[in-house]
Amino acid sequence: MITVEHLNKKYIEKDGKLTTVLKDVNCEINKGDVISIIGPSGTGKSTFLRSLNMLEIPSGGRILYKGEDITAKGYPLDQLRRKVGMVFQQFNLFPHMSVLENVKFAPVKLLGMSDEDATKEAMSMLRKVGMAEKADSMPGSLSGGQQQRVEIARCLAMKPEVILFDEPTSALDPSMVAEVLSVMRQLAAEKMTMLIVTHKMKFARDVSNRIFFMNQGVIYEEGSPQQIFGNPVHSATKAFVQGIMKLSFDVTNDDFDFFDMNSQMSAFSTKYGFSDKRDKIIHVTEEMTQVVLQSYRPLHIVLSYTEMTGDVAVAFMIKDLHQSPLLNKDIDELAMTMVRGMSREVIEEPTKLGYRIKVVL
Amino acid sequence: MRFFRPVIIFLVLALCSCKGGDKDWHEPQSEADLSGLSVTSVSGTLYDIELSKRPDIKKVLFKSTADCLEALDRGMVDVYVDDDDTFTEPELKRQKLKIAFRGGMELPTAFAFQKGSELRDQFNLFLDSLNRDGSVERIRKFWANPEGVPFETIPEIETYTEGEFLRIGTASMREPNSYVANGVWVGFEVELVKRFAASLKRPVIITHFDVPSLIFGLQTGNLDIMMGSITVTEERKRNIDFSEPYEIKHPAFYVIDRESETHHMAFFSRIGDSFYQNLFLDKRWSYIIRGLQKTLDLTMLSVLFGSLLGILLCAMSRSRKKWMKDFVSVYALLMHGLPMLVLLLFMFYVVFSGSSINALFVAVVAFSLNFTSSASGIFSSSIDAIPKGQTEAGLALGFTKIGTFTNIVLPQAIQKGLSSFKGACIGLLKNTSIVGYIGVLDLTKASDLIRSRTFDAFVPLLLISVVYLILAWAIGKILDLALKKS
Ligand SMILES: Nc1ncnc2c1ncn2[C@@H]1O[C@H](COP(=O)(O)OP(=O)(O)O)[C@@H](O)[C@H]1O
Ligand SMILES: [Mg+2]
Repeated sequence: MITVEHLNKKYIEKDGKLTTVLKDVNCEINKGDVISIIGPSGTGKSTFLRSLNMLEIPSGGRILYKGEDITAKGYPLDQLRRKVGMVFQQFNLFPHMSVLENVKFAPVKLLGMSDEDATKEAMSMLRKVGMAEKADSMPGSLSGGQQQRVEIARCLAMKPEVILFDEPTSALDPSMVAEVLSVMRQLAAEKMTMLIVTHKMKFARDVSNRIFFMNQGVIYEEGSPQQIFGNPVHSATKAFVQGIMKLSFDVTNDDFDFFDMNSQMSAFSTKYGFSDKRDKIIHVTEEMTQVVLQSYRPLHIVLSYTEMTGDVAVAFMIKDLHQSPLLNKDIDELAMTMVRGMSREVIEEPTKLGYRIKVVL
Repeated sequence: MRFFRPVIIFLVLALCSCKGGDKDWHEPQSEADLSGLSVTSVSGTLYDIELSKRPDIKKVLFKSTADCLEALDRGMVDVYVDDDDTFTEPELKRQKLKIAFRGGMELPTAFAFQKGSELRDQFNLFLDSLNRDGSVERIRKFWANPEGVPFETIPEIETYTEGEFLRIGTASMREPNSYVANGVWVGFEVELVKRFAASLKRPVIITHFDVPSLIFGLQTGNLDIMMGSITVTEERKRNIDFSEPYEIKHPAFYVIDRESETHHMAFFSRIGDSFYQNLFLDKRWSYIIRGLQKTLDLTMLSVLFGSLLGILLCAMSRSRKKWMKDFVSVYALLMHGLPMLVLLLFMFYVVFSGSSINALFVAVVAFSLNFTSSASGIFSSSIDAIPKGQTEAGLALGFTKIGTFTNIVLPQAIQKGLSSFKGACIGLLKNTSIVGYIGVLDLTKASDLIRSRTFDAFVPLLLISVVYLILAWAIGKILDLALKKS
């Protein structure tokens, strides 16, 4: 239904620098597809989505909607947008109209529906999203989740062929996310063609038939949910879907500020909710850096946290070393035993760059 | 009660302004006696200059006779000097004034014209012919009636409507020379110029200004004849030409008449008398009505044109063309920086100088230009106040750019900007009170006119204050209603 060919988008910044947001995006979207677009922030997900209804004008490439090039000069974009609905992160309801008026406004003005028909239609859409009861309320009096459901009803009232969702739950209170997602699940079940930019991995996995992982301005990896979440090809995809957070340090000599490292690690563990492991992390890092690997400098330290599994690990990497330093006779065995005692697992492996000892806590 | 409090304070202040007599007062009998006293006169008059030659006199200047009298009444000054024909007998009585003595100086009075104008020679010929058959004397006698001239007896003079207007400016609103009765300019001088105009078969238009404005008006060609008990002085002769003098006046030194009966009149009968003098005598309320009409015309037309141009300017400021944006910023800078009065005078004396365009039109132009800038600013900032998401939502639903603007952004922007717009309209209304400077007889000028005849500040000012407040309130209501309807 939609074909995207070599789509790119560049901005000229105020200082005259050129930023490339989308590099070369290619894809084919079929009728009935429910596609979740995931990826780190700032990689152009919104820009891509907004190009599909030409709210962003691409700098190059083509977008074909049912075979017609919508990027062509003079293409009637208002006609296109009646068929391609969009739901925004900041539910942009019209604050000066009631919920019902919000929903029937565009059908009356644009589709030439009679007020009576539009009201009937709008009410059925509102019923669908569970907001019929609030038809006469003003948007300002509704909660975020309710506003977002009205926004979806408003979009549906135009009878769109595709709906684009740009992080529809990101601006919501956690308690209101579920009600919006359940409306979207229902739409997916009805075979509505949808593209959804989201950070809700579980939702993406459940509801979509395809996942686009966007990274650095391209669709970095594309596949079924099973493939992307279960067995991604690229390590960047894996790191992202598993939600691996990293904090790294380089110890070059003994003047290194260990206190600062400790406090950063402590803050990191509080931020991602594993402060119960904080003392262990600091203790292990201290033993390894200052006793066991005392004579190995420079030493690259990475504290990582995997969101999906909840795993916390501290890795120690010695550059250009190809065999385990633990085999060395001078190693302080007592300290190493202590480290092993505190950890679940110690993985030793040579890598392209050097030798790595990963302590999983 | 809270509403009436300012009114009461006003009344009390007015009461306090009546002054008690002081003991060691010696009425001056000659110019020598003035030594050590404080003497007031209208600024820019001959007396202003003459008083400066007497360092032993404390000189206090005001812009109008009414202000001088107010100062005299409050005891701020001892003596007021002006022409000896400034007040009629009944007026002297009512103002509790008397002439302490007359000065010896001779003050020829004449009509003034632009330098080198042929009109002056024509007028001299005309005056000469009237003098020869004794008409001037007859007319003077008719108007010199100390009891005032009954309106019904005023002779009708042939008037023309076709042809170029003879534009006359008068500095006087006083009997007997030139004043308004029942909404018509009448008086000795008025009759003379009307007869003159009839002899030229030209229509006349008479407007009131202060003397400096009149002189400037003659010089710039905005006026043809200047009158209103104008004294011929050497200094003035350098800038303008005078006709043959038709009268010789003398200076008079006015003081408070301490034996006057009105001085002791009861407060309430004074208020009653004051209302009668200020409103009902000679149908003076009709000035207020006509002034109100002018103020309303000016305000509404300026709001209308200013808003239309404001929309244009607002559109220009949002265009992509740089020169358009620059134009709007320069325009806004100009309008913000220029005092409204300066803009108005500039329009009147420079831009429309010499043309016979009516002053109300000039005022509408000046106020529209000024309102354009505030209106476009309000429109622009109200539109900016609508989040970008609203536009995006409209576009995403399938509205065109224009459709999004008119259907979604504009209704919200109007709601947002309404109270600022109301404020701007009320500001404009209040600002219009300066149009008297270019001779438009608006509400404020109407109260000035009444004041210059009655020398009473209180009643006319109270009255127009109330009218302005009601207008300001009504503007708010009308805009609210207009919004509800749409
Ligand atoms: N109008 C713009 N001018 C310059 N840069 C922009 C503009 N809009 C977006 N960008 C940049 O494009 C990048 C991608 O933005 P976006 O598509 O919003 O990413 P995502 O939705 O994946 O977080 C961001 O780094 C952002 O700074
Ligand atoms: Mg985004």
